[in-house]
Amino acid sequence: MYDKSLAMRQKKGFKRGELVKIVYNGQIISAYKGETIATALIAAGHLVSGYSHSQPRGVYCNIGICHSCAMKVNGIGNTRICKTLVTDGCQIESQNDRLREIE
Amino acid sequence: MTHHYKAVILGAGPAGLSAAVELARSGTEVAIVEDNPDVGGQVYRQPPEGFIIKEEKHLVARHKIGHQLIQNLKKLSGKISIVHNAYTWGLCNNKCLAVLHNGKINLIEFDKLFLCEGAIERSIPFRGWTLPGIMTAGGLQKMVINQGLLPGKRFLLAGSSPLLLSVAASLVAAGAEFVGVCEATSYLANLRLLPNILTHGSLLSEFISMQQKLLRRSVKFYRPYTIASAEGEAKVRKAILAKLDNSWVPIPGSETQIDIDIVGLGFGFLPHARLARLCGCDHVYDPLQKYWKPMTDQYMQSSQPNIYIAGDSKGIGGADVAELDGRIAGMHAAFELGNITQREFSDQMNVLLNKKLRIKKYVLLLNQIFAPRDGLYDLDGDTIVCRCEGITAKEILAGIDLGARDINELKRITRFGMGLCQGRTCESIVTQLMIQRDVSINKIGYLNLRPPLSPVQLGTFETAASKDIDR
Ligand code: FES
Repeated sequence: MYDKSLAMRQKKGFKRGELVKIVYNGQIISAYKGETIATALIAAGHLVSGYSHSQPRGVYCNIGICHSCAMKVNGIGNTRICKTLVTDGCQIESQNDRLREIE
Repeated sequence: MTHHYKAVILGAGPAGLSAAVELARSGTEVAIVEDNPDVGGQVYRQPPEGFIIKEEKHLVARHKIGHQLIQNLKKLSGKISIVHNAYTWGLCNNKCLAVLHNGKINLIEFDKLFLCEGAIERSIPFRGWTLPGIMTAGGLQKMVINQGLLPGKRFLLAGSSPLLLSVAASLVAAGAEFVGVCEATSYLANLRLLPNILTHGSLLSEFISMQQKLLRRSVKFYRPYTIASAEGEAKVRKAILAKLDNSWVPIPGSETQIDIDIVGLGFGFLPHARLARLCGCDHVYDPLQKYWKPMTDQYMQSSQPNIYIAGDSKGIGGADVAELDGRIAGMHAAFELGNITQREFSDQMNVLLNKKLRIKKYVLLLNQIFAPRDGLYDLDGDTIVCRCEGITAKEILAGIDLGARDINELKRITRFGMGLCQGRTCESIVTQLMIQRDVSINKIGYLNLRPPLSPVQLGTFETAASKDIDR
């Protein structure tokens, strides 16, 4: 499910480095080195990070505590994307796709 | 792989970094184990690699202190090893940390251990609080000031914490279209603290001037209000605010509704002391702040030999107290390890202890003003308490009514706290629901923790085991 993004990268006061590409559920998304995966996904309009009992969850604590943002990153499940930085070509998959299909 | 260090510090926030600096200065070899990719913790977080960030005015002073601390650390880099992205998930015989790093298990032995795990935000549930777009105020601020992402256009900040004003200022500076601040604390209710507030005049004037600035930038204040519920399908779209009475119970009929994209919740902080619990350190309950905290003596020594606990993880005191805590703990350990003389120790220690005493008065006052009141836990039955497992208030209360008196027993009955976060978010809520049902806090206790403290892939253990045989 994609939300049209209301999120915006700030321009004033920020200089960013290298652009990288990450792959989220098969879709290619651009991000800047130094961003967390959570930042990159929210910037691209993906606010939902998973489901618990068919209810959507998003990034909540953003500091690695609540595990609301857990996803599969480069094959490793339950990775907290709010404290994992993007790397060029990294593969990210949300974890509750089956549940989403059932619905 | 097994490593050994005289001193091992868990957490690279203000407490951990200052302990490291103090120890390294005395010639002690130190290792810092940090879950995050960077040092500084939540308060002194540095710009991500490749980013150049122009700091906002209201944050410059804070960041300067952090910058100085990190410079001091760098100067001592010969003595200090930092392990980044390293998750401490267990402990062996109170002598050795089990750490997950780069997909491998490392064992790190210590003579002295410093637990500086910091704080987490206190979660207050309401109907709809699990919707995407609702996050902690601190987490939102990190996104805005460190990552440069403004995740929406219309924002609501709700809670009871001085943090809300700071986040509001960050949102305004970043160009948010609308910012509402919904504060549970009422000024009238704090009148009895006025004499104290006046002795800390700078506190009052700082607060007023910050608020004036925000008002000029058309930030809207609701006080004393809380967010009573949130609505939306795939994300939050609407917040319903309610006026609070003196015990922070929503007043019926006072509701008002606003359209928003993002909500930041800041109901104060809780000590994050997972390792302290795992180490079996004694804890004490703080009824005003409504949290358990590990006990220490004035040198930050816990009830377990060779284990120090410093900073917010031993009770919320903020960055300045944390820094002093860290220095005190580091200096005490350096003395015990024979790396500084008795004379050096007593001279410097007295200065630190006195300084801390002064700051503590101020912190105590802030904590009193913003202390959470019982009404926050007057929950609708359908409100989710445990985010991971989707357990509602009704289910928790039913478990208590079934006779559960110990929080661990209640966990077994209801399955709250059994998800990925292992109760980090909901334990404090459940504790308050039990107190509400007249269970005494000593009966309730706190959750027993077992390693791994966070998910570790099974394959990791296999690799570690086969290596061990080689050794
Ligand atoms: S959002 Fe809480 S762990 Fe990532």
